[in-house]
Amino acid sequence: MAIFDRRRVPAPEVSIPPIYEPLVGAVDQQEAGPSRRDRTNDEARPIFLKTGLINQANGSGYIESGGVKIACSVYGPRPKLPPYTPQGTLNLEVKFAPFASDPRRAPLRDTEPIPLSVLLTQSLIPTLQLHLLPKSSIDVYLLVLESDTPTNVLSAGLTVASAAIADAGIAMNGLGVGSVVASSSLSSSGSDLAKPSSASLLLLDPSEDEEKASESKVLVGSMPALGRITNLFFTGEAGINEACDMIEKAITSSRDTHTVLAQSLLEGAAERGIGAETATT
Amino acid sequence: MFSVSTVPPTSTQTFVDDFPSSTSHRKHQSESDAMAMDVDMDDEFGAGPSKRAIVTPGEVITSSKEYMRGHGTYVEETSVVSSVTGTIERVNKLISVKPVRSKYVPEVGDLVIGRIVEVGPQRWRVDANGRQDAVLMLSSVNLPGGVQRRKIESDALKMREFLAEGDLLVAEVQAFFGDGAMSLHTRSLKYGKLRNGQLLVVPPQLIRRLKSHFHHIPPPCGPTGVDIILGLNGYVWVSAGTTQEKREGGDGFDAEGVYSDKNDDITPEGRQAVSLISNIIKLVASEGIPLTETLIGEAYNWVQQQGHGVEAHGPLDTRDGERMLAEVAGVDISA
Repeated sequence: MAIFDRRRVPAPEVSIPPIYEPLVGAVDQQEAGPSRRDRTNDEARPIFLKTGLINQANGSGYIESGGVKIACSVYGPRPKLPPYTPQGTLNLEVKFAPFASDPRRAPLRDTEPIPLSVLLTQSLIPTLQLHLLPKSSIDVYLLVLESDTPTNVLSAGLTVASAAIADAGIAMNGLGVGSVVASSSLSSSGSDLAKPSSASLLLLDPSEDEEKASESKVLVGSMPALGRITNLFFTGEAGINEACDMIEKAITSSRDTHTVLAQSLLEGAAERGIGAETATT
Repeated sequence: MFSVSTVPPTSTQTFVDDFPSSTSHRKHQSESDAMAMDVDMDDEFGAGPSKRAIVTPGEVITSSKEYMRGHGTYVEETSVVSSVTGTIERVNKLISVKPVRSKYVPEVGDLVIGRIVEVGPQRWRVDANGRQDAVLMLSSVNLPGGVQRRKIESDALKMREFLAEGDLLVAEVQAFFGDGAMSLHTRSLKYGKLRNGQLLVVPPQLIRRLKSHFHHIPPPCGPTGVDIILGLNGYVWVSAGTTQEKREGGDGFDAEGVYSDKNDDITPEGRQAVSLISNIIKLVASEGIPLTETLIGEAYNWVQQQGHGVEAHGPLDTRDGERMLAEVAGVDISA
């Protein structure tokens, strides 16, 4: 109040978004209910996963999951430059192709991959047995070819990175798998706000629109084969019970994803002429 | 290239917590005894969940009470769990998992082929397809002018004249360092610098430990024959042939030429023979068939009989390759 900027036109202190009249014939998503048409709320979108597509790399994987496409290559274990480290190091780099999202990305000025790389490294490290690899490094490169939301990129990224590392024959504790659950309130009418925990709807593997409409979302990185969590990334607001339900649901679905991952590894082995007859069962 | 068929996620696999934990395991001892009897009958791992010969990381193989863990596995509570994708191998009570694909895991006495990456103080660092670069000490090579010659300071200064960065050599694994890096030696006339040929890189799993890793395909294949060295680290050297005496220090052995950088004159026929053998090895390796001398020899004879003489030196076309593998190795890849 005391200092008034005379040189510029200051913005008003309070602003309200414009209110549009609903289009005739258009169905509002919230009004129609957030339930899905093409799948149930507990159903994840199908996954395509294949290992060994990049010849130069020691191990590689390619995943298509929902709106995300990622190619991952793994190099190593290879000798690391000094200084000496008694454990192996994991270098992980997420890169977005310029065409990976709309609007297009500027390759070097893009800052989004850096926190994604850090989070993904965190989720991946518990799956590895780095104490067996002194003086070595494992280099993992993820190239995102198509993306919808950062959460889905992380989830698919963890799955494809473990597939590629397993394909490279690097010792792991278990296969890491990511899964996402979003929670959104059933309807936007005022009466339900009184009891948000019972009225919210949990959506497994949310699409971009579903995630935008949600109040909270959780990404769970886990090793289903061992029943362990490697990373938990929660955004938004939810009650304790609701949060537990979301995590529970994510863990259940990660078991299904794990099966897809294990199957693709067995298929990769079959292509090298090993265990062909067992892999088809 | 490949067809994109998406898989709807479903749960068909078994998980650790689906199985009785350590306490209940002990409770049902009679039950596990009954399962142990099945082991002898079916040669399966009765105590654990895995009923398949191939496992993925994190998959429970069997109980750690009855079996010992080997390579590619670790112990989680009371189970032996796989840490790689591969086939289960069992020797008595020792369970190990052999990975489908991995870096070369060296053993003392293995014959390897490597490439010099760095010349350091008293040692060369050698890329031998392992987890760590291998080390070749100046004291573990034979220098020109006498096998048992003492290494003097001037030799250390001339190291790059013997082996420079990028040179290929064949050596034997002598020992390991604390961090698992291998130490090599070339203290035999069979070992040393390589020339007159070409290097092929195949998955190390395809080369088994054989009686000899030096093979010679005699002269109808090229004017002097073709030499093949199968390095256990997956590096294969195919070169124009020499006689046994020349190779192993007999008549006509050129002691001064051991560290020569110059290739000999190789006739076009000799080059064709080398490339034909290389193509056969590439084809066999691409289908994941283990390489042996007999297999390569038979494949070469097959190509000769089909009328693709050394004149037809290009890569075998797909149909010929399929037929060759079917008839020589008994592997059908047409599907």
